[in-house]
Amino acid sequence: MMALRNAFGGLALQETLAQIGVYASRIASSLGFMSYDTSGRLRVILADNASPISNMGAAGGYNMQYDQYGQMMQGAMNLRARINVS
Amino acid sequence: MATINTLRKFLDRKQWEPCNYCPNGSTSNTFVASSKADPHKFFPLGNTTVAMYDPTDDGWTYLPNPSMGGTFGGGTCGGCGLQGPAGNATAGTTTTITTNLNLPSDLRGYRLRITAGPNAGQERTILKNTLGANSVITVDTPFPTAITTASAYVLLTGRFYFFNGGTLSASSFRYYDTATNTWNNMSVTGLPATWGTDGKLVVTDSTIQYVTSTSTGGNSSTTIGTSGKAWVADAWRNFQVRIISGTGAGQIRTISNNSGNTLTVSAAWTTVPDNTSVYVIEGNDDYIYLMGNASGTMYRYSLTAATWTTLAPTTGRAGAPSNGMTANWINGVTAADWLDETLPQSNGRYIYSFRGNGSNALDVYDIASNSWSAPAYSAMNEAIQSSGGTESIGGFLYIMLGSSGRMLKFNIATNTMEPCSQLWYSQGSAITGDRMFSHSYFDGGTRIDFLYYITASQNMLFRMMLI
Repeated sequence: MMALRNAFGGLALQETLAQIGVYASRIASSLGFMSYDTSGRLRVILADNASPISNMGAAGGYNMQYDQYGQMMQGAMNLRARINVS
Repeated sequence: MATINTLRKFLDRKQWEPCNYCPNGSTSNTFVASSKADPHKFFPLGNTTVAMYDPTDDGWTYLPNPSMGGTFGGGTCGGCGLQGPAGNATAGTTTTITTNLNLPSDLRGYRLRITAGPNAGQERTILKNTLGANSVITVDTPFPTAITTASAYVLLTGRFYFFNGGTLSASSFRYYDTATNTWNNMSVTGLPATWGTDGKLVVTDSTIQYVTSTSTGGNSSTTIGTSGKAWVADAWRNFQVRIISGTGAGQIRTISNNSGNTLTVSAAWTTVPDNTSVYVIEGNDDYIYLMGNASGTMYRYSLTAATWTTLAPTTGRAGAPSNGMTANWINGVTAADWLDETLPQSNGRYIYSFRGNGSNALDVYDIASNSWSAPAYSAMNEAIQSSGGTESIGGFLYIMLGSSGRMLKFNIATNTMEPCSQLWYSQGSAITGDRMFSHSYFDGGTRIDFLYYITASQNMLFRMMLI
């Protein structure tokens, strides 16, 4: 954000940009994944093809696969809790 | 330690869970070979690379370079067997066996069997062993007498048999020996010059004993029997009989035929058993079956003879198998009529093979009668796909229907096809190869089975507890 402030010069503009960032974050959280790139700009990542673990296209994106991963783990742990070892 | 499993069918739903992912993704014709007697699961990735998974630690590593001949692709297949290195002791005591083996790793927990000489027929668990040349193995429980140079042993440490496709060469069929951490060639003489399309290697080992009995004597140089038995004639043909104690202990022979109460063996006994001889009937450690290559012809390898035989079944296979074919040795059915030794439907007798190529045709090879049948079953309107896998466990064949993640379950005792759970994870492109395997947890009488599956065109590994 410092780089953006220097480029545009004004505090009010920076606050506006920050507000835009908040909105972008809300939108991104419903769509995918938000991050800053190497230039300090906000980026929304809808699908990360660099991931080695999934075929994202069919399942709808990076985050959905990881949610699914956790849900599967949770389901298995619930079953494991029904096996008592003493 | 006690394990109490309170899970119940219907109340609890099967659930796939992610395991640590493979170091490489699956590609066409990659498969997993495993044995219920060995914790290691083998995942060949090409002519020079085999990954190995250990379910106990949920971890992966690589075997030494297999340097396979041939072409990794259509027809490539493999399997696992129980037997490891064998030889004669060079010295010993009641608790130690000095070998001429070069053992690079600790083999504690594996079993060994004495096959001849003092203590023949005895089995022990390896407590420890020295590393390097002329390894000295210490067992957990003393033998009745001291081991001598006349004592022959076999380590039950397992092998991975790797058969490659393409133009067959001297190094197209190799085995990895777990105990010595080495690769060794096996013969391909007698096989077609090239091997492709799809293939399956089926190992029938002595993991499970189907009959344990004491002979009532009166045996000849080629027979052993027990009066009062009421076996089906020739139901035990091509199984092996092993004398585990008493006169003649340690001897193993292939059964060539049987009457109601007597087994005839293929080679004369060195020591004729008598009424002290306790014997078991079990899977034949000597045989490996090979099928595929878009042909109904099947081949059988003899480990002791190191030769292939082209089988000439009395009834041939009804149709040639193709891509997506399966082959599973059936040896774990728990239905009462499969455990009754007086009935023909014995565990260890059959290889079930779906024909593949988008059909749902099932062919069954009867090892005892050397014949094929294509039994009618309650087939659903489903094609057995070329991407997925099958696993035989607990009386069922579990079938992964390609990259959709949907599964079927074939009930062997009732001959019915049923739906079974689903892997919801989104897989990659469909590829040929049986990437399903199993591993079981044991605690006393409690057994919990897990199915494992490597997804198509990905490196994800999942497991599912069978409820």
